[in-house]
Amino acid sequence: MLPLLAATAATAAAAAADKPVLPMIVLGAIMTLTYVAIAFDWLHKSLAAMVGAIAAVAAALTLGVFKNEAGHSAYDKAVHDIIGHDVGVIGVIVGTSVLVEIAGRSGLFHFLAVKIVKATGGDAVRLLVAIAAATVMFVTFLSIAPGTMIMVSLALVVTHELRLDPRPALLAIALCANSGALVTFSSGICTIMLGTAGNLPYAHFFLVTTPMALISALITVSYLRWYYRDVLVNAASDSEREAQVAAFDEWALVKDRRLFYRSALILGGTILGFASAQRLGIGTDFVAFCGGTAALLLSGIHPDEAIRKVNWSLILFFIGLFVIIGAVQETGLLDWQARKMIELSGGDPVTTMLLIAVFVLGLSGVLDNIPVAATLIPLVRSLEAQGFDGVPLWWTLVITANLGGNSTPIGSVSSVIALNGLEKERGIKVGWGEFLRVGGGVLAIQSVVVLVYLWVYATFGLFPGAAATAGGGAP
Amino acid sequence: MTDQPHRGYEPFELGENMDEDMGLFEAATHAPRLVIEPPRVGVVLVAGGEPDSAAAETCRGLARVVGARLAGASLVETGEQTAAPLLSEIAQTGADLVVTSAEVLPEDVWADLLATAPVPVLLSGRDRQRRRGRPAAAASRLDTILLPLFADTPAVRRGLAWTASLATAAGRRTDVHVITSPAVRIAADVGGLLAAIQREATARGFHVDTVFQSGSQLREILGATAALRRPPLVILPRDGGVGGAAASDMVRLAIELLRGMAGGVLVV
Repeated sequence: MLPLLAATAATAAAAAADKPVLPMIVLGAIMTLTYVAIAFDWLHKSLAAMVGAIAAVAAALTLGVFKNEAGHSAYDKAVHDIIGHDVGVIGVIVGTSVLVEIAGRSGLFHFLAVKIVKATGGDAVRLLVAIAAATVMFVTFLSIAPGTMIMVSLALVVTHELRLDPRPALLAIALCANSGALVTFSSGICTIMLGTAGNLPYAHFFLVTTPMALISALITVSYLRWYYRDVLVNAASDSEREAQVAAFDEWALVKDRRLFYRSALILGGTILGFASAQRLGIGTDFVAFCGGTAALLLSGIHPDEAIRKVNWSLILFFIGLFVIIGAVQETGLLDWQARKMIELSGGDPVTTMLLIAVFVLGLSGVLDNIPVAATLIPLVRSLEAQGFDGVPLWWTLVITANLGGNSTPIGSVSSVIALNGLEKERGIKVGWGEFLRVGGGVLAIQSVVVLVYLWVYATFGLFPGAAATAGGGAP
Repeated sequence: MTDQPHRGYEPFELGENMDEDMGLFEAATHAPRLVIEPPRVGVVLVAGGEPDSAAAETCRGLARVVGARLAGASLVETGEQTAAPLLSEIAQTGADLVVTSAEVLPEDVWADLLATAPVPVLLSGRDRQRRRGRPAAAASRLDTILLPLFADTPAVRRGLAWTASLATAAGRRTDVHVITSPAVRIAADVGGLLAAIQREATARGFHVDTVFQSGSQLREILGATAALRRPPLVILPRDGGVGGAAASDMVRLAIELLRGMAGGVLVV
């Protein structure tokens, strides 16, 4: 994205006949600089986004990107309209963050995790499969970071107890978490952003991304089982292991049974709310807020304690980023990019979709998938504005932005948590080389499967809500 | 994992929650599995002071409720109001528990009793709501129990057993509030005790919630007592199992609590 933007800024003038060139160059440069500042840690990401937003608004107003209209100032359009346009995403993130914080801390998932481990009898291979399955399940309900944290902690403790090499389990968590993030609308921040932006119905996730989540998790487990076949060996006899895991006491994890049941109920209710939001004519942000408020009201946890756990810095980052992207979009730069992409694909919707898939699979390995998604959202909107059916493109982004993080140790938050925990708690460092062989290998297989999967869905019209022809109508 | 490994773009605290998770899972894998043995109580000595006073009736009401929850216990009343004769009565009757009230005995007497009685002593505080004598009021004194669990000692285990017995009542729901060490340390301290009380709560139908605390433990007990909506019965180990405090500290804490709240204290 960065080189593309840089090139765009330099050559936009010739390409965009209908919009002034200078704003495209200036605002494109501001956006690129902001991304570079974040990527190279020149500034804290939230501060970088806020500085970028201020610069973008100042530049947009100075260069006349936004015009005064009767009763509606240019400033309103440059800031309030843009934030208002994306306030749904921010609302869903805040609401689900509060809910997930409470549900994740209720002990319910910790309790289930130990039950699952006990069911394996402590066998190394069964444990790997169970940990992978539990990761997908926990991330589905709790989203990536909380689900990963519970599973990483569990795997570190259990593998230590059973004298097993922790690497297969930890890498299974790191990679399967990204599969879990695909399962439903609310399984990951990136998924929430794309689902909200694309207005993707909750139930459609079960038809498009859930099968892919399961397939990709299966690929991960199979690959890890093969790659670590020499270390997936039990250290103790069957009876010794079984006695050891049978002695694990899941009740030590219970803090408050009432909170267990209430969390499960509120989480279930919120999921139902997400599923019926469109039918009820309400926004998913409203559902998320209801879930978060119900959790605060009924959990017995002090509201300040739960609310302070929300990463407000991230919310500021989003606001800043949305303002920058909104201003850039107004210059016509992203429309120009969209036209270039269509030219590159020859106007074929399936080719365009696959091009985006390859691009995002690659980019998500080196950049966090959230800024990738934030940047591609307006691009897909531009493609929609130019007559493309956006539905296949939104699904493509959901799948590829999440799985793309598998290739490198910094590609997703789950990998960072797992590898950091492994190093700090067990003194085992999984370097770039080993991760690239494992995660890269997994992603290589997943990428082929994803591209075939998307092609089949597009070609045979399997994307729910998409236009009847393959990938939708070309412009 | 005390530092933030990578807060990244996820809206959650990572390091703090992960420390807690590790502590909890280590407790689950290391904690010894305990079975709570209910206390054997044959005789409950009720030191009610002046027999005809309203305070004495409150005291008797509480003793009846306690006796009913400790199946098979019989109540023996005494009008003694000084420490030495009360201690003799305990020996003579073979009492397993003394129930009395800060309202019916002078402070020096009940404080002495707390420090020297060879059996557990349940002392109810001053009832500011003037609901004396009503059976429901007596029962409500056991609706909220505060149980500090900071170390695994014989007296702490006894306190756990008393909690489970007193919290079990048909038709009433008891809330047991456990305060304990930060989650990162519970494996080494009280993981088995926490598991045992939750298992017991599930089997017997009372409710337990746990709060992980850091800092001075005695002060936290006082803070937690003040924060509860209903005045609790605080269960304290006589051997000073709370934060390594000496037995005399426990008695001082019990006295301080009884001076300041309308609940009660059970020193075991």
